[in-house]
Amino acid sequence: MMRKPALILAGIADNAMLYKDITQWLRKRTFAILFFGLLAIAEVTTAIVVLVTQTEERLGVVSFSVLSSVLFLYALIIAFLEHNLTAREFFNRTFELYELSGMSLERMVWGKFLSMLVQFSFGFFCLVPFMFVAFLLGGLDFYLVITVSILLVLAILPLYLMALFVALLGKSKQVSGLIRGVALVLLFLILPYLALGLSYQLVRFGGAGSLVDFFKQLVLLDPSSVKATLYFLAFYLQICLLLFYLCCNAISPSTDSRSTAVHFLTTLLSACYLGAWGVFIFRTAWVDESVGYAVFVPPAILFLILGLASFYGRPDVPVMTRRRRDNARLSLTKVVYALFAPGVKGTLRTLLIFELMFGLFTVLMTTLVSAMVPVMFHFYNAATTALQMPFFLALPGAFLVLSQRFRQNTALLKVGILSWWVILGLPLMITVTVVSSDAPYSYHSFLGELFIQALALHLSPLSSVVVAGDSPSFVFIIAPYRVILGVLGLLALYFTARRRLAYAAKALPKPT
Amino acid sequence: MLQVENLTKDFGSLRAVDNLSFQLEKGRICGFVGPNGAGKTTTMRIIATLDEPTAGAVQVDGMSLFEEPYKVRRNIGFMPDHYGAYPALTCEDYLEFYARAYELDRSVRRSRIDGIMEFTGLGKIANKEVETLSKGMQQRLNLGRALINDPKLLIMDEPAAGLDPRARVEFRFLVKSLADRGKTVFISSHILTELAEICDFLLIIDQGRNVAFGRFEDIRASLQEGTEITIRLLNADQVESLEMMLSERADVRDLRVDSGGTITFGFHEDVAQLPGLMRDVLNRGFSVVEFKHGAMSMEDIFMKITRGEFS
Repeated sequence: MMRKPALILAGIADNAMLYKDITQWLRKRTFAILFFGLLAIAEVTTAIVVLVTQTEERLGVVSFSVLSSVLFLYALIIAFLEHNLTAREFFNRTFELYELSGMSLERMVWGKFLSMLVQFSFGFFCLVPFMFVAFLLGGLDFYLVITVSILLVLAILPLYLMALFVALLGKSKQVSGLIRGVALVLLFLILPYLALGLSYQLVRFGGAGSLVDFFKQLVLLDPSSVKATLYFLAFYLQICLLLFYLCCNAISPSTDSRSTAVHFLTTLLSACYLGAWGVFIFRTAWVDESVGYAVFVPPAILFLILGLASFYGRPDVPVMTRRRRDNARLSLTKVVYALFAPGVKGTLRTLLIFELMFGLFTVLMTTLVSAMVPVMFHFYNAATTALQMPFFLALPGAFLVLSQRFRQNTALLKVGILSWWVILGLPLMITVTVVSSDAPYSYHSFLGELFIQALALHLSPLSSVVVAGDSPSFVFIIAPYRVILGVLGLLALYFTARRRLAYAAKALPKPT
Repeated sequence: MLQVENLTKDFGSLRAVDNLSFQLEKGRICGFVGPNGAGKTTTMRIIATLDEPTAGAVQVDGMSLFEEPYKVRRNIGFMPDHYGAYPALTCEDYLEFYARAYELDRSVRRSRIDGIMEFTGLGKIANKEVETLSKGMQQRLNLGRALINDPKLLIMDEPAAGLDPRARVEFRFLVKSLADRGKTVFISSHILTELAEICDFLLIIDQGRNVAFGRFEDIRASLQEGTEITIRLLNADQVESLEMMLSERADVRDLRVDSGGTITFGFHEDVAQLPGLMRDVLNRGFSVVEFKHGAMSMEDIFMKITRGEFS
């Protein structure tokens, strides 16, 4: 028993990817210059701030703020450098050689992730003495120091996984460069705000005034704060795990995919998301117009993307994944493989499970929360839009696969469907908003309005979301129709899946 | 050691590998040649478990690629035509990394790396950064990486591409000594003379199909019709007359004259009849400075089999 932790540590230390990345980091010798350069900038900035604002009595606070910003900047630079290294390895097909060595995809991603954490720890532990000095200078609340440090560590874990995932997004240098550029900008701009938003929600759950107060309550084991922290951690861990498996899947989607894990975690995450909102709404009776959209639209879009990526990907299960499924020892793993397998069939099952889950949640919400009745049409609008999602995968897909060009090139097909949603959806969104507005123009007729709404309802998920936002009666009328469209979409996807699998089986006997 | 049966790979409507079958015994070196786009790299990637075939069966040392892909990976060494990116790593770090990747035991790791350093001659530059190495040294290191797991089958995709003549000779020596150690080597190259010197077997593919497979000498014997004779004259004015004279003979076929005035043809009689032919030519007053008979070269075989589509 005593030897077990030692074995685990030895296993971590023996991780090849960790060894390689850390060796590269140490050999480059830029980390020390980078870190101490940033530290010098921090000290100079502190001095300037103190001199200009004459806040000598709050020297500790200023110093700590600058130091924590430097640490965050250092964490971002590590993410960026590791992202660049990984992207370069991916372009040069170095990952193929890693795969050939028999190293599992999980070990590769884990090693890279650990190496980033080790690099971050270097900066973190170098800065701790300076933070302690800042604390001694006075004006600092001990809980603030701890809260900021914890938040920083919590923020960098998904940040590092996202940086890895973005690096593994594409094999084409130009396309991937563009995607990575956009994704990185979004990543660095959005993540701090996302962290703030999450923290704010956390505080709301805990009922405390500020994050520091919340942390104080948590230390005192206040039940509501503990509960809120558990909620947060449940999501946080699932998001990290999903990002981890997205990275694994991106390395080798055609021979050794991790689609099962991605399907399963996405479904689980959506279920938890819906459940948490249910509890939140039920407890606080906080209901307004935007709640419906906030609850239903994000998981629906998540599944739309998942369906697009997986359903229009390769039709059969890669050989390595088949072997892993066959060799699974735990019965739970077998069930997960059976329900959320990669390929079109697995994606179809995931979509069906999602639709059932969604429907159940809608029924529960409408039955249990009677206070929502006045705003129920927003729920109906958002929920039935979500239930209609399979239709948006099947409709453009059905048209585009008529062309041989799209049939043979699944990447082009996916881009085609995405373009369909955007090109048709955005103008329709604007048109629907204008036509259904109360503007004093009389250029729209009743029939014209109906026609535009019908188009918007059918052609794109973007425009479908805004349909009938202002008309409760219309929402209740089209709700069953949307569910029927969703069922039709699922059926269409099912028959497409069958045809694709039958074609693959008919073309040649399976490899042995 | 390696058994490939009816291997087929489709990329959309394009069939890259078409019902390819062959088998290799332990300790053999098999050259794998074909025109550009014939499906060589695709075949090698499938055997190396990096791509999945559309149909067919592959076995490495009795293990099916589709039943035990992870075990197969542990028993092969693959040298692809790309090298990868390893900024700031030294040769020793590089080998240490791959030794860890193969999960070699700590005690085995050191001795394996030392053995490879000695075999590939990389010991002197163990601390040199990988990205500053010459092409020849990079290929040696790449070979070292492929050998770190002590594989039974070694797959090499264009290992001699870009190497200078000296590095090629050294590399050839390394490959031969690997076969002497019982490794099976499956090697593709566009430098055909290179393959002729080291390979026991030859597999030629064209448009994904196996067009010739067997011992090099057997393929040559099956393709060669008669003996190939080359005659060079001192006086270029006599070339046309000699061509006319030879074309009238029933035992001469495939007559061709190159721009330098050298005449080449196939002699379809027993070799014992050659002195008679030579005498006949000399008696007619042709000033012969060279009279040569020889076997088909690797290039000739390749051109003949692939209908001259070699690039």
